Amino acid sequence: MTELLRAERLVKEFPVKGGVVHAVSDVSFAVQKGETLGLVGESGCGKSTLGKLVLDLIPPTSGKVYFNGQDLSQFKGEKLRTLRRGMQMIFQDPYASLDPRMSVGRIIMEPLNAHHIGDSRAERKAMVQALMEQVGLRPEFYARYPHQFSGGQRQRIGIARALALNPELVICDEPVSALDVSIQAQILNLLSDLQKQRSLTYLFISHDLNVVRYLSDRVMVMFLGQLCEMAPTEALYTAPRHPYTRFLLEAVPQPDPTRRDEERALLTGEVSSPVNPPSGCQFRLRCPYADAACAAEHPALNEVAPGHFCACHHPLTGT
Amino acid sequence: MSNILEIRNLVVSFASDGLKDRAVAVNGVDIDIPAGKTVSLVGESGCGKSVTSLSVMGLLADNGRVDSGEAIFGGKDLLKLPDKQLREIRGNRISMIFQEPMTSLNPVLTVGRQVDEALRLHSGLDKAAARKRTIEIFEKVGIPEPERRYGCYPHQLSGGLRQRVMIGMAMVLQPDLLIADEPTTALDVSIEAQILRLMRDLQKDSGMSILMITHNLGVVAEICDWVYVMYAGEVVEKADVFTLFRACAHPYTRGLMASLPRMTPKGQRLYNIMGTVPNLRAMPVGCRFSPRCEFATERCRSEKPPLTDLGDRHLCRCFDPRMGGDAT
Amino acid sequence: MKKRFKDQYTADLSQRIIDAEIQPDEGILHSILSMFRANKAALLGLILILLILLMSVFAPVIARYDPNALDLTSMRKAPSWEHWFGTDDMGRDVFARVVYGSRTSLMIGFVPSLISLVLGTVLGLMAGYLGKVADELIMRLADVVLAFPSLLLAMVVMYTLGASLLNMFIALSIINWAGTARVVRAQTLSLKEKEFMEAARSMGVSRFKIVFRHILPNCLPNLIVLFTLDIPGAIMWESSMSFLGVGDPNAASWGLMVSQGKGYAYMCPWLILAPGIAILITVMAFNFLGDGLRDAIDPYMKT
Repeated sequence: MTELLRAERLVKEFPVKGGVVHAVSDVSFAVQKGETLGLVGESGCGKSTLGKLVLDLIPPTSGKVYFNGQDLSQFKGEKLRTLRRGMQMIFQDPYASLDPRMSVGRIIMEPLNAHHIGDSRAERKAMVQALMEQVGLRPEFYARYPHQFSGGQRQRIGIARALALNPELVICDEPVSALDVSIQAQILNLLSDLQKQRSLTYLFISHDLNVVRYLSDRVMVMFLGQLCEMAPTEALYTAPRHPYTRFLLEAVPQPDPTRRDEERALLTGEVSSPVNPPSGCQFRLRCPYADAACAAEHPALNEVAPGHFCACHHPLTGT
Repeated sequence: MSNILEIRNLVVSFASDGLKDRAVAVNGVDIDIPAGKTVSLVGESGCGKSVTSLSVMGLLADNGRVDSGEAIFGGKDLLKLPDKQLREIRGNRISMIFQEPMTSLNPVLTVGRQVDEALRLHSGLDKAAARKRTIEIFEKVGIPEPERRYGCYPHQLSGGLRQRVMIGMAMVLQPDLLIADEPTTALDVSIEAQILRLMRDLQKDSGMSILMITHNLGVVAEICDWVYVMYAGEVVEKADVFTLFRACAHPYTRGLMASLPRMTPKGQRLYNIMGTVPNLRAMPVGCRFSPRCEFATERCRSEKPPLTDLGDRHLCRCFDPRMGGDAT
Repeated sequence: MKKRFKDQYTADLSQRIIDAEIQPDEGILHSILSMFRANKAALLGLILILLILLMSVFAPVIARYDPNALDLTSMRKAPSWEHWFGTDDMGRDVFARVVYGSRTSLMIGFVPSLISLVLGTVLGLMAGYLGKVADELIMRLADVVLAFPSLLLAMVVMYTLGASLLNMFIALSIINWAGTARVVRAQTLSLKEKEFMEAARSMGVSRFKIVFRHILPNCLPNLIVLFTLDIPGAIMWESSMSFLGVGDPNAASWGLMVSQGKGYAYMCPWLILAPGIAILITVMAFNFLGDGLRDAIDPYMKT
């Protein structure tokens, strides 16, 4: 497998009143061609920010992003735009991510226009209609407006737009969390079909552990701006090594009432604020295993099993 | 077993600008809420689950109207009570919590004061006693440092703490029924689990009933006793929670269950229900799910199936439940 | 309590019910049409505006007299069959002058409003989209303009530049652009945060295109409302200024007629009543229409 994307020591800090938000602190990872890398974490953990850093939608405070082996920070202007064509994004909110004043056809055509793809308007229109068909929209709806569509249909529009430039990497930022269960399944199937058809690579960001499990080959878990665990999907879900991952997995309400009286360890306390986070391990304030070492030093991301990385001074034993 | 609330044949419709006919959002719904139990209304957006609870509480939007039906609570029909009496019940014996507590809390008053006021309005406690009781309740709903939090404004609290404040406010008067409308949808999983556990514990202590409105089958499995599955304004299936998750019968429920990405391995397609929810103004004749149902027959498309009992009070609105073998 | 619960849910519910429907092809035009059906005042406003427009276009057909023809034999005649609105102190037919005056007054309504609309939009877009120095500069300038009493500012401009129709346009544009700029800036700021802006940037759409393809079209409905409400404002300002004697003495506007008639207010009330009522009707008509448009556009803007 070849590496498509590599993030190296990415840091993003936002100054706010009374401190600095450490949205992303020192995160490194790589995405291989053709795989789906899941990224899970709770609100405010920095997962969306990380997605935007990768896309260069916001500039990093420090660190680098390599796409197809090329350091994005070395490029500017037209060159950067061309390079970035290979990475597109699907957004969370199917209502806010489409301009209400543009027809569906124009929305999907916009990236084609921006990169001067297609020789004539008619050709671009044909391309757009082919895309619409691919994502399960009727091409006759070309001239309709977003408000006429349901949430699921709108998300299909967003997907068609992201695919218009024929990208290699698609960053999916919570693409199904605003949708109903039955529609969610339709979109997940669509994403997985498209991946096969176009050999896409996904960076799939979500707070929903079940959804991430279904779609991903590997999963990263973030907590307060840092990676705490990264592993092949099954290993992460069946034998998590970081205490936080384990708590997260236990907390998901399972659609199985016979399991509800099982004793489960629940996280106590609130999600801490990324403004002036604690010293050492960021999770220590909510962690039952925390000791002096955790306060003193931030644990490094160590390989605890082949391909399984965990940032903890006291990793759980794999069971 | 006695029911604390019985909803019978509830029909609710909405007017909208420029259109003559009203959209029927809830069409003949029957719901029983047994004392001390948790009943769940589950369904997707627009299925009428929230409208059902709001109409019982007399909180329908101005363009909404209860066309018929009754909701018997403590021997009285809530739908016919004068506003003043309904308000009395609403503050006192039925409480409600919502998805986004921020919009239900007054941003310019401290949370302590808001709980205080609810308490004093209905109980006649004096200021100091109310404050003491409020802090006790904050402690009970798991708010750390309740005395400090008493003086906080809503925006100073996290989403989880705000929802705890809402639950505290709902619990101060020890209601007989708590209506929770998607109470954990806006929260992170770790906080969601805490809130669900809190609701279970509070129910155990107080013996109140809970009407839980949610789209999340995981939440249903977690805390409910009885489940009503709603689709396009109607109840399509009712069962106790164990039966429902073991042997749901309606094709819609089975589709929902099967479309959950819980255990499906990567690469395998998720089951999905085709199409989208029908337009409220253009409901299919016959079974409302028939256009999306892969087992639908001519009869399903022309005749409306009744809600029939499959035994053990397991109701299902389908001519041929469990057709096509088990989905789950 | 009840109100707050309701508020949370009205928004939520309408959203959900709309989502369940397969929407027919209707847009802002539909919303405006149904507004006219429901809002009779707005419809009346629209009809009146159309009538006034027709009147100014067909002035020579409607008026039987030349508005500037002096007839010293019949000065300050009371309204009669011959002279519907009477005559003024120089024997000119007041009805003809009101009819022809609509041309000047409408022009005074439209032209400076259009100028200030364009100016305010461009500056507002720049302030909102570029931010930083441009924002500070433009908005402080707007603050200065808004902090000045508008009438005084306009009068200072007229005194400095001299009394002419063109200078009246300049004066009115100067006092009006700042409000538009503020509205456009605020809307640009909120639009900038929308996901679809981010989407456009992520696809490599240029800044220029983002402003003209995304931000401007989304501001347009509000701009139309602003424009409709600016017109009566300009007519009023001009009337006030003419009344105070700083208008263009050669532009036969309604404001000037009131001003010229004020000396005979008791003796010949028709001299101020006729143009006064014309101003009143025009201003009211535009206000009705603007309010109606705003109501029609507001809910549409939320989705």
